[in-house]
Amino acid sequence: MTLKRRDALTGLLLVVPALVIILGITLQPILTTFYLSFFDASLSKIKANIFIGLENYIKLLSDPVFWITIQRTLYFTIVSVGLELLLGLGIAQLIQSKPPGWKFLRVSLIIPWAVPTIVNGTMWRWIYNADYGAMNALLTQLGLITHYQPWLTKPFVAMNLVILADIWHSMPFIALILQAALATLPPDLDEAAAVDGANAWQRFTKIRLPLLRSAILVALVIRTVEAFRVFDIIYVITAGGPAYGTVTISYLTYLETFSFGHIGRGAALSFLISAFTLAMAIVYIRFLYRPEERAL
Amino acid sequence: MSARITDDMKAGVFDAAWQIPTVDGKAYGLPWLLDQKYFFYNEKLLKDAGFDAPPATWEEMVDQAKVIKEKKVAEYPIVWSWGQYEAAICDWVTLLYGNGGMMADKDGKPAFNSPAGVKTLEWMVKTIDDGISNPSSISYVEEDVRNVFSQGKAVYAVNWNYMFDLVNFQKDQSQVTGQIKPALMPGFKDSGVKSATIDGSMGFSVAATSANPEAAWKYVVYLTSKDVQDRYSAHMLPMWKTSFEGDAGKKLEATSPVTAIMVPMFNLQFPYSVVRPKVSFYPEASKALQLALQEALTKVKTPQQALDDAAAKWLELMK
Repeated sequence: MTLKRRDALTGLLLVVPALVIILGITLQPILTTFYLSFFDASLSKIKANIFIGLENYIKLLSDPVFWITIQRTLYFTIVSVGLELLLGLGIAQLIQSKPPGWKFLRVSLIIPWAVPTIVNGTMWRWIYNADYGAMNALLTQLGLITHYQPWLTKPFVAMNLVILADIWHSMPFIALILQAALATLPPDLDEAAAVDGANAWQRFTKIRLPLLRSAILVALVIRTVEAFRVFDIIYVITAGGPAYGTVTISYLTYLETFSFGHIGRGAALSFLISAFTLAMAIVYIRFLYRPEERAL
Repeated sequence: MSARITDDMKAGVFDAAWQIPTVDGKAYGLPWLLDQKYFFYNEKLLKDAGFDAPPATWEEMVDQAKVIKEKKVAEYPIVWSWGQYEAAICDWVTLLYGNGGMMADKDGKPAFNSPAGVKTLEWMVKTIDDGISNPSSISYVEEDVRNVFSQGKAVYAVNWNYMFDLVNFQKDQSQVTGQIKPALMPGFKDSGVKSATIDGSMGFSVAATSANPEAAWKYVVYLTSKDVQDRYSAHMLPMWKTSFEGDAGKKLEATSPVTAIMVPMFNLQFPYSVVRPKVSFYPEASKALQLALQEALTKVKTPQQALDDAAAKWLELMK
């Protein structure tokens, strides 16, 4: 056996136990869920599951509630990830320019990201509280409002407040990835451009951004998939209310599966979510992936 | 299940408690831990506004509330749990039946969109518009109600038994200890209903497909036994009549200052408690009704439209 083959075999043997555990835990449920999505299966009815082929999928795709929910989820995803990208890029630039205290800034960024999503949701629910919340207190003290507002009782406002809570939590992730990428960029390109007369904006858009492309791709794909599947923050802050105003596609899946007991339909919804996120990832890769430019 | 329920059990448990596990005259399990929503009021704040007694009707509450607002005793006299949760249905049932309405008719068809139902929802919307009900009620659950009430920001609150101990006796949880009393849940004078409240009791059943029905039944009997139930009585009341009578009754009342007040209150209120429809599609049907209440309260639909749409969904689920 050649050295290369022996190395490969050793590597495989070392990985196999972990692979077995991961596949054992995730593969079987995924396959079972997929199988279940072709049945009329219910937790609250004592009857055997009936095979109905693609009917779950067809019913969902022709249900206006499904599409309104997708629309709402896309709004959440686009606004949340969009603002996170802008803020993350700005903060990454800030850290990269190494102002006094930049090390503290970089470390303190981890705190919002480290807070578990459930804790984050609970914290923001208290902040947004209409009778004793910190946000009402702050806005009143700043003179921006005269009277405490019941923010979470208005559907569109509640949606945007949930987005704000998500941005606070997830923006550090993008900032840290982009800052790490910025730190690997060679400084001579910037300096050469400055000598040639390029201003800061031109240097940023024509040199830095293109080189950050793969880092942005990574950050966007991860965050978009996560944002599209958002659940805990919705569950804790609004439970999908008011008037279904914050029901995202994952929350709808939770309702169908665990509240209403339609596990066949819930399984189909899960796979539709996966299909959507896969499509989005493919779109990103199409537009952003350039294998020859590797800044990371 | 009904075959295993002995005559002793039938006689020993409150008659009204059987409404929880009984469907079409057959008992499918045993009741366990009785609870209902009560009408709590802050006696001190009410006196500050010039009233010596709590309201006996919802109309009287609104009249008192207007004075309370005027005298700036509380900005929003009453706070509810009308958020998009089951809690909203609990409040809804309380008000609906207090207005002479019903959730379902004798054939099980939805009846909550009757004129009484629409009137009730319109009343709810109006109390928010008039600043009598705290507008944040639209996003609140029972714990939020307790928090607002504990801060002295509301004069009235509708909640379960558990809230009384925490708001009236626990100084680390409440700023209004010693000021709270329960009263009989009001009804609507216009509809001639004296009182109505939601029955939130629980019950145990053994699934027909259970692999160990004998063991399960034994466990159910143990959990619902008099001794075990008496031990929970500070926050939820037992279902055995004998727990409330004679020496046992005195002992129950004496368990804590909470039971001394809430046990007689329970006896007074329980005859007026109402259960929600016992149907297999209840979670989905309830969510449709929760959505209807939310749509009316956030003015997305008129009360009539919202309730009609929910009724249509119920009929669809019944098929």
